[in-house]
Amino acid sequence: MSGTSSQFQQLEKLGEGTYATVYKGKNKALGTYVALKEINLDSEEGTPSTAIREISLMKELKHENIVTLYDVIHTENKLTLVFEFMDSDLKRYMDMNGYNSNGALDPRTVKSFMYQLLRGILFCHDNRVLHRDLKPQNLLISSKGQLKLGDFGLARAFGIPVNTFSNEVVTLWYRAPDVLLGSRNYSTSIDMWSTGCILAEMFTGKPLFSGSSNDDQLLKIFRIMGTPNERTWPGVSNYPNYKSNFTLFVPQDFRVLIPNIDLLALQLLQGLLQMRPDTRLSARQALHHAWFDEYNNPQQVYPQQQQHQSLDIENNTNMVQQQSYNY
Amino acid sequence: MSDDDPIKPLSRRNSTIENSSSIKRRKSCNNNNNNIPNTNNTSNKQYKILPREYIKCEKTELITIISRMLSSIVKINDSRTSLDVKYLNNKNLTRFHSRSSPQISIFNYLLRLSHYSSLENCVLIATVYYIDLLTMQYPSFALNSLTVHRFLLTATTIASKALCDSFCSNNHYAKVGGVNIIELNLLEVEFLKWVNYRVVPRDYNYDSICQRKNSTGNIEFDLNNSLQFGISNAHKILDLYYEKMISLCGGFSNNNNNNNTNNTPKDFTKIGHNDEFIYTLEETLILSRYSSSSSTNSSSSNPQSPIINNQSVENIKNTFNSSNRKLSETESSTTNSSSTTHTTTNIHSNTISSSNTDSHSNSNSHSNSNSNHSRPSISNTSPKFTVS
Repeated sequence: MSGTSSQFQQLEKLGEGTYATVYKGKNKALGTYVALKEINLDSEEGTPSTAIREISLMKELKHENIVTLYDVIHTENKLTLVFEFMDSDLKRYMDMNGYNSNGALDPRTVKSFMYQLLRGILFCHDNRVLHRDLKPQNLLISSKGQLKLGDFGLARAFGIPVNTFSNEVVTLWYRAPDVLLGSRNYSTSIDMWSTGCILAEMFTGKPLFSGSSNDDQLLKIFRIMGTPNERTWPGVSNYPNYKSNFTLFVPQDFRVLIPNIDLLALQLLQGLLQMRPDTRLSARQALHHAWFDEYNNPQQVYPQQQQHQSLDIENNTNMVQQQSYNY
Repeated sequence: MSDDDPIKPLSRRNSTIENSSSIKRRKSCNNNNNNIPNTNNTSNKQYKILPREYIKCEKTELITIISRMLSSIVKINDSRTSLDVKYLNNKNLTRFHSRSSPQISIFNYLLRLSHYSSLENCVLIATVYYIDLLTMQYPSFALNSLTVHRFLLTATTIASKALCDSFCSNNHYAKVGGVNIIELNLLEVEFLKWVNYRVVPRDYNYDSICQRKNSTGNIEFDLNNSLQFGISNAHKILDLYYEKMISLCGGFSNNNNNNNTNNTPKDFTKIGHNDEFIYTLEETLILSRYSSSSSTNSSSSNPQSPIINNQSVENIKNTFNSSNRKLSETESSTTNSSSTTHTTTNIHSNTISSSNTDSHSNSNSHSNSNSNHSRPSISNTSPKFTVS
């Protein structure tokens, strides 16, 4: 497994993150494509902790809905992670494939992506790993319609008790209200909030809560979800960032915001976007939601499924059939 | 700021400076633990109960246990390898080797790293796990008096970065540890390469089981099994190391058997083990009086950890004896094993399958955060290591 960078031909740049640049690469011997994530090494910092985490966790998390890390190549001044190549990410996929060019996806694709996303998350959570940075840019999409979780730079193993838990996690728009309020003992529910935000975004093509700062983000959430109080969320006033003078909003109906959502999907969305972390659905609960019945009980024939035999969905259903005994 | 003070390599540290700092450290320990009696009074044994959850264990006590553990490993390995770098061939010489044994004791070095880099308890215990991990993957490596310091610095640096949300720069760790930043970076890379970056604690015995499965052509991989044995077990593995260390070294005393008064300064393994203390885990002693009183006390890990009265001493003596026996078993088993292996703790290999640490809840583990957790400024650290 010890490769050298000369094994790969570096092709076009795919993206740039805060600590790494990702290129498309070609394995010269096999002719296959890979993604090369190049991390510059800083002498003050040594190997970045994000790289240590990403590598150490992804080596353990082998799942079809989690992007595969093939190899790590260490040279004097840079570290290159060799990943399986994925054609796109959810953000770009929505920009390119959304209908009416507004980025919204058709409900069947939303359901397929959502199911795969939840399976990836469940695998992380079962292995006691929090992703902590779920957003469309970090969900990779293959040409076959597969979705895989990527970018584990902020992830952490949560089983190990520690005294310090950072609340500077998750990209602002997908950050859970309890974390925004200053919680430091969050758990798996932090990823479930992000999942809810992504579900809504797939239906509309637009981010659900696009705040510009911590406070603005809270305000944007309250505007739709309603301002929490001790009655709707016991203990909310104990959070460090709680203010008694928050502007008061009443909860909005999601059906106004997302007109094309069906009733079951709406139910799931509401379960995921619970303000209280303890009432939010878990990944396992979400996977068992009635919206996914066609995947969970593939024996039954669904009229919808017969009508449009999408190849992608069919593949997924087969995949699901094989795996369904695990849950 | 004295950040710019030159930090001398470990091998050239001045022993007198070290001695003074160790005395100073000792004093601070005494301030933390009012119960620590005069060190010279070895006959006066005291018994301490450590909390079941390692996150509640007081730092100094955890470091005492760990340094007892490491010292006994170092002692075993020292007796089997040459301690002079000149006589080591390329195969046995690792990047972790110092030119000569550093004069700072394991206890003081760990205390120093822990204090100035705010190491969490899980980092300290993971460090012990890393001994087994590295030794397994890198057979040339053995923890001995030449390698222990660089190993500890590297392992704590990596564990902090891999497991904790708050950590320092390598520059800081290098200054605290007394090595050059370039060297620490190299050590870090070396370590990560050897262990294949798999630094989240896991049951690596399971890996070999999987490999065996695959080699027989049976590639059926039971997902449910992998969940039980993979990194989801990280906390249980650290729990296990904590418990085993206490049972092996809780009653361990290095000096007492041979009242060796002329401790040569070279024998740093004997410093700072608080030999007057015998540690036991909370549950190994079931004393009805105790359990009732400790449940009313919100935490039993505070400076005034319960010191057991004479009545129960007999009980503990038994525990102590058995744990001593266990240690000697470990020693004999290691010395008798083939000469190429440098077995370390023996904790991992056999025990993990049967260990099923009853799932005590970690739910309240955050409540007992250490009061002295705030990071001290680095300016205090450097002077002690500068050679006059």
